[in-house]
Amino acid sequence: MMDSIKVTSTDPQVVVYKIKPAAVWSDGAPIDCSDFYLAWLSQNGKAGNSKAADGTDAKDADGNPIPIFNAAGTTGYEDISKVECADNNKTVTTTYAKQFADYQSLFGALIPAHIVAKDAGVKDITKVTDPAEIAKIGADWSTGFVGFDPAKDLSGAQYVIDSFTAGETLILKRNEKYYGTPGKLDEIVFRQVPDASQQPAALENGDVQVISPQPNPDLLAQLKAISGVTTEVDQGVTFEHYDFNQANEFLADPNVRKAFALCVNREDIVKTLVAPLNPDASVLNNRIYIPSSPDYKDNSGAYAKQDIAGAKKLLESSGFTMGADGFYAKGGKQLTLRLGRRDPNPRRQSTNELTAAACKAAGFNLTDDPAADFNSKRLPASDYDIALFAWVATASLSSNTSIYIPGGGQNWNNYKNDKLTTMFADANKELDAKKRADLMNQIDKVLWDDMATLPLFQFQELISYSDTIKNVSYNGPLGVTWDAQNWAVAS
Amino acid sequence: MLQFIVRRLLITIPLLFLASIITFLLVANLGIPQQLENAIAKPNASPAAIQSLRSQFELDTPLFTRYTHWISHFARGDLGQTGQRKNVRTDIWRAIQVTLRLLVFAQIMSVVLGIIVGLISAIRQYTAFDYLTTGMAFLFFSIPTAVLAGFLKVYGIVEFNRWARHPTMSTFAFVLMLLLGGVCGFAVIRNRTRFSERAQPKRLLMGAAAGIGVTLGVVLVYRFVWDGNIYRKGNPKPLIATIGQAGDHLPKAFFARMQDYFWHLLGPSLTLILVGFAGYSRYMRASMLDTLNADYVRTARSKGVSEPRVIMKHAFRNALIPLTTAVALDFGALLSGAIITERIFGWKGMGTFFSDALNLKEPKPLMAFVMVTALMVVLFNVIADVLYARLDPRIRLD
Repeated sequence: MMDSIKVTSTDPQVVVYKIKPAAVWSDGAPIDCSDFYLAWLSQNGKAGNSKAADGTDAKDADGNPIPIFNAAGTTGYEDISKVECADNNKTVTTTYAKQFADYQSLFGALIPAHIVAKDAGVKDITKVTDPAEIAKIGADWSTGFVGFDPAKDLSGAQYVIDSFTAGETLILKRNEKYYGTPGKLDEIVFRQVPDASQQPAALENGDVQVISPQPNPDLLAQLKAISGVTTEVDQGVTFEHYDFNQANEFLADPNVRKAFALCVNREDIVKTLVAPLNPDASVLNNRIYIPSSPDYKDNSGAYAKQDIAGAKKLLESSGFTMGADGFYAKGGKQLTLRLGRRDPNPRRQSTNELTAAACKAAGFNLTDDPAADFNSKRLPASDYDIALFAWVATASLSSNTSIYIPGGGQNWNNYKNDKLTTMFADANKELDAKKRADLMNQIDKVLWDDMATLPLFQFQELISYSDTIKNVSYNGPLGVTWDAQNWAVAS
Repeated sequence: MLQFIVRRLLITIPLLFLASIITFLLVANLGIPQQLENAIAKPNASPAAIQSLRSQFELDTPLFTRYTHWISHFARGDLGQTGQRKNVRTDIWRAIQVTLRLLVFAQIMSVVLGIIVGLISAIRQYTAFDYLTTGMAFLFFSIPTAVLAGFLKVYGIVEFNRWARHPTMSTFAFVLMLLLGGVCGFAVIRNRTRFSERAQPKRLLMGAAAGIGVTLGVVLVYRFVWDGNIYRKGNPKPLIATIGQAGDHLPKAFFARMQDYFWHLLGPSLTLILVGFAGYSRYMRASMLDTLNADYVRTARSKGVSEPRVIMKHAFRNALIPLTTAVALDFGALLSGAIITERIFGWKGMGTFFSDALNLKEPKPLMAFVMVTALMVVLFNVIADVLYARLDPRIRLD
């Protein structure tokens, strides 16, 4: 779709997008600057709230104001001060008020501006200033695309939605107006198979040709037994980790956190719980990058391997003494900590069991602390000692900020290192990708030194496909269908 | 009668009201909806987005206000919206239609099969047929649905489709089928002559020959007329589906559409038929034996009424009464969906509707489901009572 995307200036940051002259929506209208402009207009958070008839802010049932554009987030777009159009609307120049290093994550899903303009009765979206017209645009943007309407839900890629039956199928057909190499298959049907354990039979029977369920050893064995089917397991982008609540009197002491990190046998956890799915699975030693990323660095240092003696030494240097029961204690209080996790979750239960057993040798008294509402209630309320849960390592690196900086929205650990606030701020405006990766790895190094959290391993992901289809491959977080335009019927 | 029906329906109103309060409390205590939970767990979650979801689910409203809000909408026929802003009434109506499609077919088949098998095994008590069907009934009745459905799928449907792509028949299978046909023909004749006269070897032999002949005919038709081609050539899709309630593109033409439905219906309905038939056949057998041994049947026989007449008119009709109740009650209960069967065959009926709503902890669909199914159970209870009174003159409703 793009001829080029260039950063032409870094201060102020200016990004210039050149759209292919031939690029069109599936209804034939050109993909142009107005689509970019609408994306910015709707998500920059500056349009304000809807007005009621009497001119005051309209309120929802609970008395909260209703924004004109109900955008899920404003990250990035809010930093753009203006979007300008040129060259017959095929060149987009975005100027930032404040540097935003994740600019590549913006303008990803465009909504066809010409459709919104038509619905709202506006001539040129890029020139709208009248608040009443903006309100009309907002109304269509917010509610006009609910449900499937073939006249409105257009595509700018190889395939376009043909039909949609909720909960059953989504059918894509080849986009006849596509301006590049067309998709190889005439039609791609997404069929919902709600029960993952039924997917192998559906694949074997030919009801479906490609599946990507969450792997487990039984499912994997079942898939491997089917002839004429290829199955691959790869390391995904979601990773498991232990978090330490520093409001806890023991965990406030960095030596206790470090001793915990040393006594956990991460290699054993991977060998026991993950290797049965993927023999190549490895321990994760970075919180920002995963090994498939070129920027991944093993920052774990001394924590790479289990070290019981080292853990004991750290605890003793903090004034802990070994009691007769085999657990350390300080000031008459036994070193007892709860390992919180969501329930039911057999893998997390096993992880906690392995950890408790391994750390018993280092004098930790660890208990499993399962709760059904652990992730929804207790995590945000910081109601835990040590928490076992997962984050997604996203390409949008700035989203890590709120997890680790003091006062961050997801910093449930009460972790405070003021150095990180400036480090993240610097990294989030560094436009040079290589320099930025260095900054991010330095942040990760600080997190290891403070032992803020302990990353464990990545979740495994599985794709399995019939030999009647070729060119299917694992695409990481983008999903198996990301390059479906290359899929073809194998002869 | 009319008075009775009206009275029964009026009683259901406080009953449903009470049920709604209890389930509302249960649903409210399920925990926060999954959608909100996911929103909270996202890195960089915006407080505004979380708050807007909280107010959408009315989590900050007192329970009582929430209930009055819900019931006032319910009374007006508005079942509310899901967290994804989907209309619950449209969703549940779609689910009911799907469940009905499955249920009507499966229920009719299992009732008919159950009656026939139960009837014969009662008349021919302690014969090979009786033992065979009794054994099968107990097997299907006690086997867990998930196992039965799984076996049917993996060893039945998948294997059949594999064979149907390249249909061949080995000589061994051919001979086995002929033998089976012979045994069936033999058994039918032997059964017919069992009580009236001593079995005549010549007639039995004829029966066996007829059985073999019929089987041979079927095989020949399959081989030469049909050319073994029951499979739609060149179609990558399997004949019998294991997933979903309809094909990707539902044909517009009526006959083609019914065909598409049928091939998707086969797997789940076969599961339900086997389980249902097992129960009904036992039911039918027991009640038929009861009536066959009743005094009035003996009286009829001693008056010289012909055997078919005794069985069909005097015994069978009365034996149907208890079965009618069972079927009517089952139908109401089954409308809440066959959760396991639906899940295994990827159907989007009432069972899936419920389990999805429960997994997502969506209050509105859960309430809608409970109210609709409660209404159905009450309704079919009334129907069962009415039918009972119609069939059995000894029962008066007023």
